This record gives sequence, C-alpha cells and structure tokens, in this order.
Amino acid sequence: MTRGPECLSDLVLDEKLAGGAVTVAQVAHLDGCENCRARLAELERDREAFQKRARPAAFADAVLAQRPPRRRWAIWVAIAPAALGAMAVVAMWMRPRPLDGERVKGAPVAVELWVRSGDKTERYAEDHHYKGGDALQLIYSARAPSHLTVIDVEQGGKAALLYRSDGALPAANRRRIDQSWVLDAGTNPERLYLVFTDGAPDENSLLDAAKRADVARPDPLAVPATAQATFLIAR
Amino acid sequence: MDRAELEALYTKSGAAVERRCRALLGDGEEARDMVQEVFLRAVRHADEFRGEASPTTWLYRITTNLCLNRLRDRKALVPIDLVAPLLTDGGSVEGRTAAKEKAAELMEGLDDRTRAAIIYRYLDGMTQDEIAVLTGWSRKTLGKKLGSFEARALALAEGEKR
Repeated sequence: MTRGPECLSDLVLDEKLAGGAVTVAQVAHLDGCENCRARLAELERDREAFQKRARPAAFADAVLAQRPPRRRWAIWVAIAPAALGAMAVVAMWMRPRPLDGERVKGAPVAVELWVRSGDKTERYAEDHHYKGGDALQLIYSARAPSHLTVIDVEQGGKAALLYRSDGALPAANRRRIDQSWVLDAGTNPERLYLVFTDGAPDENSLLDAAKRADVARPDPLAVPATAQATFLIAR
Repeated sequence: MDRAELEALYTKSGAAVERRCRALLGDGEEARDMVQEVFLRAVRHADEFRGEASPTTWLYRITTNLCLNRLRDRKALVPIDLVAPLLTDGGSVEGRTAAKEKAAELMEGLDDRTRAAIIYRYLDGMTQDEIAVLTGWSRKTLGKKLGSFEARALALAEGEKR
C-alpha cells in the first residue's frame, strides 16, 4: 500500500477510530481514496484484535501499582485542572435544554447540534457564521433504536458521507454520537443532512439524493427514512 | 486520572499506542512494557493534558518521547528500517544492508525533536502541519529541518548508487 502526499496520517485515522474530531475535508478524502480506506481497515482490524485480548482492569492494576504513593491533596492538585476541564465540558454538553424537535421531520427522534469554537461551546444557531476549526457535535434522543447517517453537502452538489452508525444507535435521551467534525477553511455554505432509518441505509441512494439537494433550502432528502433533520452551516 | 478514566483511555487508544511501540521498539517484551510506561506517564501527568489537544495526539507525543529515550538507551537513534527506504530503491539485500549503514550515519547528530519529527513523518505519515503541532516548531522551522534531513538522505542515496 502506498501513501500519497494527500493521504491521511495514522494520527487522523486513529483519531477517527477513537471517535475524535476529523475535518469534513478529511472525511471527503477518505471517501475517495482507496489507500486511506485500506489503511483505515487495517488499523480497525488491529484495534478489534487488541480489544478482544485487552484486559483493561488488569492493565489498570499493573499501571496503578507502579504509581508511587502520594498524599491525597497532592493527587487532587495534580488532577484538578484536567478534572475541572472535563467537568466544564460535560456541563456544557449536558446543560438541560428543550430538545430541538422542530428540526426533525418525523418522530420520535430529536437532535441537537453543538459547536465548539475556540474555548466556547454553544448550541448551533442558523444565523451564525461558522469558521474553519469549529467542531460540530451531535446529540440525539430516540425512543427506539435507529440507524443514523450524516451527509455533508457543499453548495454545488459535492456530497460526502460524514457518519454512519455502526448498526442501530440505541434508544437514548440526549446521547452524543461517537464522532465530531471539524470544519475546514472553506467559505461556501454547507448543509448537514441527518437521516434516521429503521434498517441499514443504502448509502449510494442517500448520496445521490444529497447531490441533487438545494443547499439553500431546508428540505428533507427524497429518500425513505423514519426521520430527517438538516442544518445549514453558514460560513 | 482515576481508574475508570485509565481503563477507558486504554480501551480507546491502547491499540494505537501498542502498534507504535511495536513499530519503534520491535515486537517483543520491551514494546509491551513500554505500553504500560506510556499510560503510567499519562496517569502521572494528566495535568499536562491540554484541553485543545485530543487524547490521541497527547498519547502519540508521550509514546514517541518515551520510545526515543529507550532507543537512546540502546544506543540506537531511530528504527533504521524507518529511514532505510529513503536510501535505497528497495532492490538487493546487499543494497538494503548498505542503506542501513547509511541510515545510521544519516541519523547521527540529530537532536530529539528532529528525530521525533522524522518518526511522525515516516512512521505515521503526518503532514507538516500535524508535525508542527506535536513538536511545537513553526511550520517554517519544521520545513527547514525536514528539508535538510531529506537533502542529506538524497546525497547519501546518490553516493550509494555511484
């Protein structure tokens, strides 16, 4: 396998597999690059094999046994900044708010889109202009298990598959999906389409429908779905 | 970092750490021990984890630095296989052996940060922007360092062909 100059690094692919943030451009590249897809599949197999043999509890025992004893206050001082940071993020994400049901055509599913820009995390606003580096995170609520596909369409009909749930997402109340996306430096508006289906979706049909969509209009895609939502990302 | 966080981090990122330790130290006991060392360092220095970097990036940096220390203890500089392909067209066994000797020469005198940058470039296939974040160098400085390294590699490879 040859890695071309435009190919994604292992860091990006590991980030994707760990559910971290990847950019829209990186997702689009992965979509069209056989080498990167092959490398991702290789890393995924390696990761699955690791997870089958990994014993996290025993590993934690072994690691923590090597940690020298410290006074309790010292441990607290050491972990406090990270812990407080994590708590702040959780508080941001979990702040109770009414669900954004009006964006969902169909029931019983609701979604919220949150955007982290610099050190601020705010709920998506249609009239806000977003910039490269802003990270998008989706939260969903569903009364029954459902498959979710997220497609990004740029003005001009360029469509990319951003996310496809690994099987049906469980029924949940305000659950984060295990993927976020970082906007690239483009200036054209983009539209995200969230398509919930009972069974595994036909990705090609979804992408074809997305390519025909008018980014300026908040219409659902012409595909069979239990529910759909859409967000315009103004730049 | 508490026990539950450590277990979660290991489950999520252990495969990547283990793969890179194997690539840098070889597929043996030393690499397995190094995985524990990486996570021990993560537990001890959880306060250094800055919110803007992802756990994956943070663990990449820890793994690289600890493996470079271990390689230095072994009197090795970076895994020679990593840079040998720059010095040969992948032909004969003799050619590869010679390339490995040249690779050792190539790596001599490089500081830790440059060696880390070379690992990120040739092991992980990172872009200069990604390497700049991990090494803390400006894009310009990094370009000069890698450019100089590649020019030396090319000169050594040309010498080998003659």
